[in-house]
Amino acid sequence: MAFHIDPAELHGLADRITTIGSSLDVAAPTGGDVDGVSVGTDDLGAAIGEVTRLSVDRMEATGLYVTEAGQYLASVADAAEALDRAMAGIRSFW
Amino acid sequence: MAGRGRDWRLLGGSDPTPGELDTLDGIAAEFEAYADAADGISSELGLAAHDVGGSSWRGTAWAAFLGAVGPVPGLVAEQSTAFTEVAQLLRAWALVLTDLQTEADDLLRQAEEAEAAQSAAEAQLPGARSARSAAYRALRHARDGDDQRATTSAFRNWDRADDRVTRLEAERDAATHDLALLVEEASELASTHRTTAATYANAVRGAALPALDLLPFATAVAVEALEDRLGGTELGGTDGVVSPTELAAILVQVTEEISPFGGLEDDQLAAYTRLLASVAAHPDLAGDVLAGLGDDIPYVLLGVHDLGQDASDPERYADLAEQLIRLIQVGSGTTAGREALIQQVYGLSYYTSVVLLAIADLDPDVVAAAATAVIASNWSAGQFFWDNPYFPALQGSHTLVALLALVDQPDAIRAFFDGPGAEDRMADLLDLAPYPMVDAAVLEVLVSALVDGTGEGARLAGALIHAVAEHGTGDLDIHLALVTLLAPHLPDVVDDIDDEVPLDRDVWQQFLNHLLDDVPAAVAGEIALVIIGAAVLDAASAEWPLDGEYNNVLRNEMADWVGPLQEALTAEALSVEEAQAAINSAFDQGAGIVSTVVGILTPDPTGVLAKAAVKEVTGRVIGFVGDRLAEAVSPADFDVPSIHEQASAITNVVLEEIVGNPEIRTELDDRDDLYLVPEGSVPDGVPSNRVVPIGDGLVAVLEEQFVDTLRNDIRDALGAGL
Repeated sequence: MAFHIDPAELHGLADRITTIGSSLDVAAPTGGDVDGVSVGTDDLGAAIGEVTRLSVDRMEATGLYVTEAGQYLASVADAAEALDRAMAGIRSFW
Repeated sequence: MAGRGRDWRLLGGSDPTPGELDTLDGIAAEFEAYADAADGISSELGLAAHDVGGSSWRGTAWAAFLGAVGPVPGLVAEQSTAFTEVAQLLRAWALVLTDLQTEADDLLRQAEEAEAAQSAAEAQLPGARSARSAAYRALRHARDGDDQRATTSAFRNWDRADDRVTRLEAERDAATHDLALLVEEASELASTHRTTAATYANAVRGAALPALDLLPFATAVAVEALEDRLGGTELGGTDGVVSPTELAAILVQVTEEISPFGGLEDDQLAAYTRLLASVAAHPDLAGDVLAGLGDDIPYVLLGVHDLGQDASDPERYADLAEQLIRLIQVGSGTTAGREALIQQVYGLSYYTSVVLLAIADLDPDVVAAAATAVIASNWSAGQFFWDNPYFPALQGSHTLVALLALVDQPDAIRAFFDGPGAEDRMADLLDLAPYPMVDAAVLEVLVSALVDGTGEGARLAGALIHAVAEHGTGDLDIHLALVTLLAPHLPDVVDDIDDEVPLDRDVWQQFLNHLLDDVPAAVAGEIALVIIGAAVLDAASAEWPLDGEYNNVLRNEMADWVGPLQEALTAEALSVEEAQAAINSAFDQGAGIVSTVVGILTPDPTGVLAKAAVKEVTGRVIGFVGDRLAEAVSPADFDVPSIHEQASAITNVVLEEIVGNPEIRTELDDRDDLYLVPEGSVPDGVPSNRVVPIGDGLVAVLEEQFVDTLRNDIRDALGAGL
């Protein structure tokens, strides 16, 4: 192995990425439930609602994807930790 | 009506330029805040990805991870841009709206002024008109006095009063005209408002980004790893992320690299296997990938099958095969995957269907569809497989694989026989060529369908009887087993006279004859015994008490056809001809009593009575057969009543049925064929066979002519039948 993987470093990065993923899971802007008359016409109100819902869906999908990325990285860190423990055991045995 | 806190009734009723600037400002500010947040998140994610790139982690998975995360900051930034665009559009609209509303407010102000002028004129007009009238009266008075000076003065006064009225009316009319013009302008302004708002609405919609169809992250990493292994390929997707459809294309592309002699390097094979495992871990994704594969499903499926068949080292591809098979199995449980697979089953080769059926735990509907295609084809009955380590279920003939796939899943059998096609499915099964174990597997399918729990035993028994009656029993040597399976259902099948496809006499006769086609005498005897056993079962379940006289009639009827059957059974040697003759006799002659009663009662208004009579008489007939055979009594022991006695006995039973039916009774009452009296009030001279108790202390007295006519009809029918 050319590099030694630092589990703590990866865990830190995993936490950062997971937090970013959570921050993408936003609450819908009030534009998603706007009254048509208050913005001009029902048509414009509907358009604002549509773009809001599409945006929120997209943000949520991205948030899920990024959260999974953080979890993936955490599993890599876990594996690195397990490898460290195994190597330590081998070294102590010899 | 109010709008923006104003009363717009003067301008037609409602605010011509609705919209709240504060609300628009609030929403725009919210979108701007989201844009800022998305920008921040995009930057943070970019930094985090950069830090992962510079971390101590290295290797293939590291590169694939970075590849999978790489496009995401850009996606978030795109979203920020979209938020910003929407905010800008809303602010631009707010500016336009401000101008429109200023104009509307000005129109309203002018309208209010016009209305004030109009009201003022209207208020002054009555007084002015009174003054003019007074001046006119003064003028006439002055003229009458012949005073020239006074007349001149009065004329001037009248002239001034008249001018004032004219001026006030002119002011009022001008104000009314102005108001009408202002209403028209307000209408035009409202139209401009709507048109402009629609333009902005379209622009806002245009700012929306298409939905993202992101893969699960682990799958995306697997795609990246595969791309890293397969140089020169373009797996990244058209928009930076890979959709299920694009993933399906990747599977096809990689399948092309697979050959029985190993076209993939070890690391490529590992990456492909990992990709398949990752997809198979997500059922919805697996279903979407199957849908994306579409017509390429057979190509990918058979590619793996051929590997198992021809590869010099099949073990090398075992994991890959396992994951691909699992992907299909998992995906089949989704709507998209199920539809894709079923479409292939009906569109392509039976061979593909057979290989598909060798996958365990497929969705029952897919199994049913594939089995239907394979079994109906029958051409492949003699086709056999080489041993294939990836598909251990591919043993024996194609049809055997299909049958065993059905046997493994009761739900698939239920789907296989679902709906009105059950008779055709039954016929297909019976028509299969008798290769080893096929007949046993057919029976297993039928056992599951008729006995083990589809919950539709009687319906499927009816379908099987129809299939045998129409198509025969085929080449499979399962006649006796079929009868054994059917026996418990026969009473129910006989009773189900409301079925869409009723089992009439011809069907029963054809069914029983076909059962006895080409079977050895011993088997024919067994078949007859089983059928009679079913009759005994039905008789045991009959609840109506047997009437002594009626029973005698039935005995006489049955003696004609029970005799040969019984004698043969007693001698333990029943030939096919004898059994068939007995059955034909039953339907052509002996069961004449059934058809007679049905023929008499069919015209009743509801048909309910005819159905009840058929059920009852049929139950009694087969019950009688069971009783007589059990007692081994010779037909010669039976009393044989005359036709007149039979007709009287049947007439009595029929009259009870007719009068017992409220609808028929009412109709007969209306036609004066009967009348109701209290018990004990029957007129003298009325014979007992014209009196039928109907409960609640009442009896029906039937007219003599009606009873005679009915009895004569029955006697004629019996005479013709015998």
